[in-house]
Amino acid sequence: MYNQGDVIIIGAGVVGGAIAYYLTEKGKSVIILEQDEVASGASGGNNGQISIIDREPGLELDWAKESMKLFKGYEEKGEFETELEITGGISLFYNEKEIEIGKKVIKKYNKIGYNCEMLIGNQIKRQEPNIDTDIVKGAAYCKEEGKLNPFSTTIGFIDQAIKKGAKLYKKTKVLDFKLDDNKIKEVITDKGSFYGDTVVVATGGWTRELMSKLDLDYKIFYGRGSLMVTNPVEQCVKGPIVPGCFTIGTLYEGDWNLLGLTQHKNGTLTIGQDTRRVNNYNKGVSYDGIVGLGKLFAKHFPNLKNIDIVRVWSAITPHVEDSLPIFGYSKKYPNMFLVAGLKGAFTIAPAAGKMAADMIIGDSYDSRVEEYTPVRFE
Amino acid sequence: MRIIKHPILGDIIEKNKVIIYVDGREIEALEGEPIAAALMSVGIRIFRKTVKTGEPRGLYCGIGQCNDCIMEVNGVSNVRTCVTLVESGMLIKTQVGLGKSGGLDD
Repeated sequence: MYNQGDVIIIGAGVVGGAIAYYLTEKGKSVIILEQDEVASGASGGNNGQISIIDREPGLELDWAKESMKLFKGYEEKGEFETELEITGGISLFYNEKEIEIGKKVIKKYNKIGYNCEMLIGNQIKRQEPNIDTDIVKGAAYCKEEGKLNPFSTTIGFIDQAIKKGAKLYKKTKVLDFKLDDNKIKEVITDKGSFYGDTVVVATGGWTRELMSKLDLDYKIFYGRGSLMVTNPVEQCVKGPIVPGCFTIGTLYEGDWNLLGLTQHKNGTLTIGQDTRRVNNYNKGVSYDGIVGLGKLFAKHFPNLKNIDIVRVWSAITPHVEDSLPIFGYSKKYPNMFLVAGLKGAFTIAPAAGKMAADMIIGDSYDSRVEEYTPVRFE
Repeated sequence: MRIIKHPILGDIIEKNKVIIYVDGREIEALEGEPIAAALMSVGIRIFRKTVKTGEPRGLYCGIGQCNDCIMEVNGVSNVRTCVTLVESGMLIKTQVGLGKSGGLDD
């Protein structure tokens, strides 16, 4: 058993995968510990949308821009398929007031060079001919948005890391940590102990629970998002569709039942996103949520209302109290690096993973990332 | 071929005979049986062709889960024939590829 490496990464999601990819590229020996399967958390439970205008201009948006180039690179090098397609995307608005706020947001992104505009009424059908414009009054269109396949992307990162020497331990759950002074010396799992110079925590919605074993309480809440997937059908939805309130920042508290969806390359539609704030890592699906979602979808897309739903599931996503990501070294345990709460992580994971790897190796990095330090909760 | 006497399910129940059309071919079916059963009874095994390679697919799970037996029924694609019941005069077609978003009204 290889139980010793330069870096131990906990979590085989897109973030852990991207970090493993860049660490192995720089010659580090990496061990990845995953309590279930690759992409079995939120990385395998989302719509795979590339979202731009729900991000604040700054580092996050720069990560997004850089990530699109990096994604292309993986495909050009023949490393793995991401199925990335920049189709343009829309955020939905239902009344005049929302549209007004949306217009201001669009101006902000136009100024920094993004191609966005507010589509009103029938104009929305330019992008999505099947949407009912009696329900949706306006849509913020962003040309730079798109979609990808979250499974092939996450698996691609991990496979490439394995090719370069990383060891992946699936069905291996971290139970506890052993300390030497205040450094993490040993990661104890149900399959034995692992040793590394650095421990990377990339555990998404599970982060708060796991970190409680180290007497840390990062203010991360559990958002349980329920989604469903349909039969594959011919193209009927062009780009990603997201709830407008994400863009104008009017809703983050409590539960919501809002429509967000993507049609994937194989023809299936994933439909979300009923999200509830729950108080534990419970991946159950609520009846009200799923039925509500189905009704909402049928209302928006009357032509598609008889489409067959073949599966429903939920994923736990981390919601950080101050809505900023958690990214960087812990102060209390200086050899522990945390990455959590990267909202819509697929849009930024390549660049964020690359930066995390740079920081772990000791290369120079963009100092703006210090705003995301986990130390603010320690 | 139909099973007339089943060791567990018993004898076949008397049902009206109706005509349905499969790719233009007239077929005698029993009203209220699954479309897939009617097709199998006259030896039709190929229900659809796959998207990428056009390979044939037919009845697989038989309980509405796997979506392998989908066909075009009365102009609507992606209909699961194993859980959709025969009605007189139904127009059924082999589905090639994905088909338009479909499903019948409940």
